[in-house]
Amino acid sequence: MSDYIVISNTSVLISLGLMLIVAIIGLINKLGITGNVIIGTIRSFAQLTIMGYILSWIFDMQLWYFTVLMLIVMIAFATYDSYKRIDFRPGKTFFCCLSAMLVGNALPLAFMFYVVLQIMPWYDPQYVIPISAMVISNTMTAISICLNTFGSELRLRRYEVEAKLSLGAPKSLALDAIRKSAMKAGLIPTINALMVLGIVKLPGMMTGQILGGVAPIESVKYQLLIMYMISSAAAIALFMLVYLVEKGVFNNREQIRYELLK
Amino acid sequence: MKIRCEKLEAAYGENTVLSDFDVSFPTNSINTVIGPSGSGKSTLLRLIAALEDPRAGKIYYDDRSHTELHPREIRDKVGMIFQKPTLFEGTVYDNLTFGLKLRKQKLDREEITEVLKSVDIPVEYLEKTGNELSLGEQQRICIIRSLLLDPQVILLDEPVSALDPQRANRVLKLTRSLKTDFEKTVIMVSHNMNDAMQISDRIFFIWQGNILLEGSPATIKENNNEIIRKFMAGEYE
Repeated sequence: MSDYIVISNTSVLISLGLMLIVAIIGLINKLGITGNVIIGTIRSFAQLTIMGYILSWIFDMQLWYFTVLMLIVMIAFATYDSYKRIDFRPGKTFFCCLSAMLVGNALPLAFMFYVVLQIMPWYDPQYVIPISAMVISNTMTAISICLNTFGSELRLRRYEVEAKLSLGAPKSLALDAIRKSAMKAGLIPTINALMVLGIVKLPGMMTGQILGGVAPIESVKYQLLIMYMISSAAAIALFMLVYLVEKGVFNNREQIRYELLK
Repeated sequence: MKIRCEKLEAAYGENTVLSDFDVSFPTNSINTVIGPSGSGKSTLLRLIAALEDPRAGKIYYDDRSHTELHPREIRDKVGMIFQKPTLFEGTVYDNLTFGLKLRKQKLDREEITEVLKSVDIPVEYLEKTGNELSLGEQQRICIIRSLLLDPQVILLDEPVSALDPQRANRVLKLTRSLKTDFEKTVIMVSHNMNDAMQISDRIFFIWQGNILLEGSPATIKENNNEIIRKFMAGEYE
């Protein structure tokens, strides 16, 4: 298993016909999504093509600062994207997300690259960029689910928090149940993915490697490493995030800020 | 402890809830603040419980104002019971000892048992979780949980509005005993004049963010104020 079918540009264009089906179904059923289908198709085509060229160029260059720059750009975009999707912003939320994203991803990635895989050189873009991208994108989703749940739980269980404050609990203890729910909600998709891995789902990376000619058992090993990294990155990021954001929930008189409950 | 509010003003955004509000609650008494929905009753309790701060004015706890006290000092002296029972995760025992553990105080199981008996809650309930109790039982546990911390004032925000008459009566009986058996100052918010008449020493009728009339249940009953008459006739929610 060493060869793979090279996809020609014509094949890609022919495959676009499948997207036409999506647009037609949207039109017939008046779903109002045709515009977005067209924009999404064009964007994904353009973005991935550009990324393909950039990656080829970075792989050829083999310069550490390009790899680092790419990581910074990925982290910044991922933070911005998750921040955009969060409707609960208790204060300095972007900074909290950025810190959680940096620390949460950096620790497991560094462990994997330099302890387990021992890549050489340390910035090898062929490994660092695609693996980091998978981990970062999962953390990004976990962060938005976690913070949105934090907000909805706070609104729903406001009186429970205030009852604890009334009984003399410090702020952090008063938010204990909310924090747990938020972390759990953020982690559940990752944990569920672990449960069905290999049975219901063959992940993209593994599929890609198998199509690229890698022996299935070797691709399984890579996929397992990725899943472990994804899980630990999400856990570290969310753990950090919930403690960072809780400071913004209260004013300096240990009262819930009213504007967060609207 | 005597609670006195002086020229209080409270607002949510543009919506003023209390304005130029003066009231004084005597010590060791049952006070009911009554009035239609949205008149500012619950806000008043939240301000006294230091869960919110007034936009202007002062709240005095005996002779010290809320600005001189840290909210935790206020919450040590003032317990708050919410409209919906707020039992936390864990057993009834975990709930009852929640505040005590924070204060590093110990209470024997026997002492807790005694308190439970005094309010007609079976001892076996200690190992139950909140979901296994009726709303009335949950509410009584919330009141005892607060009482065990020995606050000087207990605030109750419509504690029986979600209960059927029989369970409501039990909670009202317990509320009454907070003064008679435990010598607490009680401030209860209600929109039910019958409940207020039944247990209060003093009733404060609140209307559009101000006290319209205050007095003993008899005074309130005998007055000829048109707004209060309409309220008692059920014309306001």
